[in-house]
Amino acid sequence: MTAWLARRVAASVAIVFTVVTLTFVLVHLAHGTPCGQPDGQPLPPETCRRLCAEFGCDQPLVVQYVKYLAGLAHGHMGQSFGQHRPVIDALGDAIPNTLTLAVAALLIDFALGLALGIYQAARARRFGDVALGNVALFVNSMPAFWLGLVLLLVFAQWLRWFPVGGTHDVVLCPALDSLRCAGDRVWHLVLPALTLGLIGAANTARFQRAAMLEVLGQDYVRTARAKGLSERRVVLVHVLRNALLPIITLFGLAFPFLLAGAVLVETIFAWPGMGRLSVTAIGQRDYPVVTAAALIASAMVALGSLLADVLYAVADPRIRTRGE
Amino acid sequence: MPTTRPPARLPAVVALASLVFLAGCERRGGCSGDYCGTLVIASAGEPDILLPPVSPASVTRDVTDQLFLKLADLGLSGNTIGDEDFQPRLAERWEWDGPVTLVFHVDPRARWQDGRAVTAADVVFTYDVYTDSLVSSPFRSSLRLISAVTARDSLTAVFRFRERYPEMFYDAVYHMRILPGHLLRSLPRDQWRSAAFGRQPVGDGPYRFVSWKAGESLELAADSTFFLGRAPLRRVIWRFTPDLQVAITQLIAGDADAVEVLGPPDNVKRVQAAPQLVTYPYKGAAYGYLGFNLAAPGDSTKPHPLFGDRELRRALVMATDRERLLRNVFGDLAKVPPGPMAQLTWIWDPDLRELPHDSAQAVRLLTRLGWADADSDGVRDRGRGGERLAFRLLVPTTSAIRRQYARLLQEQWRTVGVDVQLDEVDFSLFNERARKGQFDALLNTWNTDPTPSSGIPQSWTQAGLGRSNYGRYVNPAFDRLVDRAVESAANREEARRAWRAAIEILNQDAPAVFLFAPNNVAAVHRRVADVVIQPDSWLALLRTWRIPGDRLTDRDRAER
Amino acid sequence: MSVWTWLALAGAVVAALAVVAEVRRRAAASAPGRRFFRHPTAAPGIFVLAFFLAIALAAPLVAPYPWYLQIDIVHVADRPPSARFLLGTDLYSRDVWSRIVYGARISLGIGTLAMLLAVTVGAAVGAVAGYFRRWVDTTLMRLVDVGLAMPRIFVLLLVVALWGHVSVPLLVLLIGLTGWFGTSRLVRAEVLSLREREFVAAARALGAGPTRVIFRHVLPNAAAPIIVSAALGIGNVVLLEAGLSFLGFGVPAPRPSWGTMIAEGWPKITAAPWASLFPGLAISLLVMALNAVGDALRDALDPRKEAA
Repeated sequence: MTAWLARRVAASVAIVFTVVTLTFVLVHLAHGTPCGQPDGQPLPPETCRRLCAEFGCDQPLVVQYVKYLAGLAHGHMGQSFGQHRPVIDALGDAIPNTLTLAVAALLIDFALGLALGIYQAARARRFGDVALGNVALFVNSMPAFWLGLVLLLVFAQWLRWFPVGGTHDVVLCPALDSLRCAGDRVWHLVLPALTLGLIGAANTARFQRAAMLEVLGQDYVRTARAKGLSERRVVLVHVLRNALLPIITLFGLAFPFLLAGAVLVETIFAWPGMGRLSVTAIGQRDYPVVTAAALIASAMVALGSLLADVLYAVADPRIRTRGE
Repeated sequence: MPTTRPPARLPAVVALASLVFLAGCERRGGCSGDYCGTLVIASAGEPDILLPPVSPASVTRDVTDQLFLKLADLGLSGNTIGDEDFQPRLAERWEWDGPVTLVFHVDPRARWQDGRAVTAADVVFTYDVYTDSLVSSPFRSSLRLISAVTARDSLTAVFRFRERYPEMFYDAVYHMRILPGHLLRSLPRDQWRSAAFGRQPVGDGPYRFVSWKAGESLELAADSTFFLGRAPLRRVIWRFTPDLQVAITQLIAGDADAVEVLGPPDNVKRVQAAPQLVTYPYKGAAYGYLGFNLAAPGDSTKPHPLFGDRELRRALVMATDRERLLRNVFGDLAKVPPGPMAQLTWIWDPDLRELPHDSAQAVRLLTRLGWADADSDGVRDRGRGGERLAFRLLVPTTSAIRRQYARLLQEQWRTVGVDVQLDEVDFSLFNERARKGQFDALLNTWNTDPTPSSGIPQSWTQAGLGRSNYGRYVNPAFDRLVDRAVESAANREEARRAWRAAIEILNQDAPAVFLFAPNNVAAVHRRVADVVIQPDSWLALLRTWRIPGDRLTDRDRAER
Repeated sequence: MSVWTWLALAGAVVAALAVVAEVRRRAAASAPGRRFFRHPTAAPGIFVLAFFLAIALAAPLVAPYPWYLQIDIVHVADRPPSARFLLGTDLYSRDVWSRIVYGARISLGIGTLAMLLAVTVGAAVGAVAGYFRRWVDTTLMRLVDVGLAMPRIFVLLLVVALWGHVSVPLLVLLIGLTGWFGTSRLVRAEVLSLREREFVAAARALGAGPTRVIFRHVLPNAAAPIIVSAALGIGNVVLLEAGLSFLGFGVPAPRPSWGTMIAEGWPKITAAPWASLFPGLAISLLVMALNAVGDALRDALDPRKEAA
């Protein structure tokens, strides 16, 4: 088990490295040095000299790459041109926001999705199943940014139940005690998390329903029924445990989806996370931030799939003994 | 046992609901009285760096105007000639010591926010920075007629001019915000654009800097020891929004108290329907235009393959129905400018001669120049190489108005056989490309000074090359008339005549299509009293706005 | 909307119904076909797809106005839906319905072409990896892992921004080349199991080279997952293209990509919500139809159900 885990982790690290290298090469081919670029913000000569000394400007690409990696090891990711401060500071502000949104969205996704999927499987092919199935299909097909716009329009602009964007009330929150401020933050979190979570839930519900229906047809379920156990116990104890396995793969897929959806949703809700930072940085040709964002994004994706694999191995003993 | 799922969720739901409920609860206590108000300004633009010499952005100026003082400021009359209509700020009084010498007496009560006294040495230092070529301030050319600034003693600064002209006093006081020499002297001049001071400034104005969260908010707090009187609004906070639409939604929802410019008529209607807001119309200090690049993109020594041709530019201007475009975007909240001027500029004259809107003549002109649609693809071309009448239009994504104009112009010019593709880029990228001349045409807006004397030379004469004259338009006859209007005009009437002649020459050369000069409408929450908006800089008199003690809301009372 | 455009619209509806009827008739002949239509959403899905295809093909007939025409920017901008403007006008006084009709061309066109490219590359890579195994397999699958690790929209934004401005063909190429990784894994799995079957051994015994074996014998039998992946893939591409266009990095204005329409309508969302709502609805319906058909195909072509 540990050997397999070690191999998987090593593979993930290798993948992240490859992604960062590719981004590095791509970006440098397009624009050149870490300071003097053809159409981005220029840096003053002194900062340029300092950055060039640290990251190498006239040296071959390989040397620059090595210096960049060395810098990474020390936590130096360069200077952001757009924000005039170290990249690591900009990331440090953005990452917690994205994680908060992702966790909240995942909670809604799996709570709602599992519940729906189970309900649908229990009422298979009857009206409740068909109606919910169509609704889930529709929600799953919506563009995330469009759903966000609709929710924003209805609940924030027309009904005024929720705020229009941002993570918290910049005026009131610092003055409130931490409990009320947390409440304010949750209030701001609802719409963006719902946007991502609803679409994910629709997808999860479909998978869960299918998985449960498949398991429900299996022999051991008939055995359980024959033994006289109540339907509810059969469903929740025996079927669910086995039908959860495919869901774990969904969990691994959730990370890339959240990152992709997050880019658009963060832009709409003015959520200062990695997605919005990336889009702004790309628009400003803020290359150090872009490279760093690629690193973080691919690390998150790799982490997600690694986590999914580990969970799958833990849950399914067949995987463990077989190894990879 | 199997039924644990639904009930287990209930406590969590209750907890969540109570958190949300608590967040909205009203709170008593906190600050009370007349010095409590908190003003939240929703802004689509964010400052780049809070150092006045290096940033021309208007939202930066709004913030730095609360942190730093000028020697004197323009009164509400907007008269920029002579010195009678100016109000003392950092300088408590001044006098003329000869025809080209101006002496300012710095107010002895003025203090930097770290405790040190403001001295004439700071004034000298500031002038030095503003005119330093390494700092490369956009205001540098406005100060070109000042030959020297010296300190006679610790509280007396002496300005010497190269010659005598009507707006000497204006040039001496309007452009420079006095900076703390003791804090900035050691900063190398070529590092000003990224100085740490610019994110944590120390000034001498009515407000102190508190915090700046990039992309979110910027907060200032009133300095209770400010020598011209404590500002009644205790806190001023800018909230940055992705665009104007969100800013107005926040305003209407009560998350913000003020917005500088509401923009299109739809927004004004929305705000007027909200009972807690008051709208304040004021003369706009901005004008927008489509500027042609007369030089080849990226190579200023060669003329632009299309727009180097004066007749082609004239044809395009004549093909544009500016009135209709304006009606679509602004309704009746703007006017078509008769030249490079805003409604606030005193030379505004709708009778100035311009090129008329005449599509038929434009088409005739284009055909005469050899542009015909040989391959019937809807786009004119000429020559054996099939050179197409096609170009790219540079637009910043941050301005909804300019993006709207871009699409309208695209379609309007398509009907005369011109193919326009849009380059919609981030605002900082837009500025870079504009500065470097890497564009065919761009949609730009200038916030003008109350007098054309600083804006027009910067943007349309030879002196503006490499600065704000992005299109590289140069006409010596125009430059001469502008110089005459600025420097040697003995009185207003002569200046007006010179300006008129100059603008009419520029209009005939058609370096740009002058599209809109908006009437500004600001919106401020009803509870804010004594709102006075200075048209050239809407927050210049912020320190006189107040929220009376009987109109406080939760936000006003919240202690930091 | 004139009489002729109403007729054309009705014609599109009739054509779509006819397609459904025809497909149903032909499908009734085979077991997979019958399984396909057992899904309650399969027939509506085919109808919606056929309808969008019909209006995309007959756009000049169905759309009352050209997609670029600003009818009267002073008087007809931001009009609500009416008899003259079926879905209202946007802020440039362009007919929303006409733009949606022409936008169907963009969505279906980019969706189909990019998906074809992705599926072709993915199937080829997956087949090669599965057939040759060993180091070929390892290298290619590592490449696929890297591809899956990189968030797709991020890569596209980066490339588009670096390039400056992308033409539609280049956009198709980029979207296609970033979307083949999942398909290659699926195909590889199929090929790995298929290559042990008798007909492969027989083909090789007869002297067929690897290429022939892969393309004539293995891939046709792996068709099921490829087809399902293709149907679902178009939906993803449509959503991706809409997202890119919404951010301003996709199909350039004034072309009526549905994503661009949503973005352009957003500043006027309170004054003219129809300009953003209807394009979003169109995207949702199209993707929903594609998902429904994909799901039904998956169940229909599922070999485990062959016995039923």
